[in-house]
Amino acid sequence: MSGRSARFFGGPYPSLVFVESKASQSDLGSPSRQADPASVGRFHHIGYVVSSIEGAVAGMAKSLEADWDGAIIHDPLQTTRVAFLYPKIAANPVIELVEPVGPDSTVSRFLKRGGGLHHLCYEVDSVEQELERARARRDVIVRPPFPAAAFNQRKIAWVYTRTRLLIEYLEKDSNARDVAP
Amino acid sequence: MNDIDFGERVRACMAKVFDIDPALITLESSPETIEAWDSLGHLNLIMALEDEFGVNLSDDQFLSLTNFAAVVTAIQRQIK
Repeated sequence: MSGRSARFFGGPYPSLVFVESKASQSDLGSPSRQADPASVGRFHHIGYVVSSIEGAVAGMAKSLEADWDGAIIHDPLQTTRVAFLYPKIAANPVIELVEPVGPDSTVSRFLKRGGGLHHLCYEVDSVEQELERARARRDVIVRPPFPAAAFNQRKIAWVYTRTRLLIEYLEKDSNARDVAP
Repeated sequence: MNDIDFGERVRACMAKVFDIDPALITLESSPETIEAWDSLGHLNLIMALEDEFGVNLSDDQFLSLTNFAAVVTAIQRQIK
């Protein structure tokens, strides 16, 4: 991948995803309306862009009352380094700190505008199926599936919703060890 | 609409999205030369072009419109 395409289309901003009501047809009062059997998947983490993981991680962990396992993962395809902060309260979200690697990183321009909250990630059964659903919503695929170093080469893809929210889809892999809960 | 008018409409649209002087936009203008043309800027550009010209751009087009000339060509094909 060229530097330009990596910086331009790599990912990290996304839409709130509306999951169809599970109410029965009779509950809805309309025999023609059907609940969507698929779902967006399990919420996985929030991406947050910083200039330096080493410089930010202690303060972030303290502010969020979260734990850092000391791992920083370099992802050459995304031109980033990432670290995960795990919440002490299980119901709270995992935070992914994302640091650009070099001026052509996918997140360099975002950082120039101040960095901070960047994307939401959902873990899904099939990235390809989720992209089809995204296309049907007329969301925009900004980066097709590719392996992610931070998730043991599991497939990820990036989508912008029409409401300018950046979403990362991460494919489930029951055989892989995941860095996030 | 002739090609010059068409190109100027695209140029004006792009200048508004990226908040730059239209005179700075050349055929070679790209994410390399326009600071605001990152992935979010690109989404904003595509949505603005769809509104301006009443077209729907595909995923493939989204990924291939990486300079001003390519944008003009793609929009022209869509509306002809």
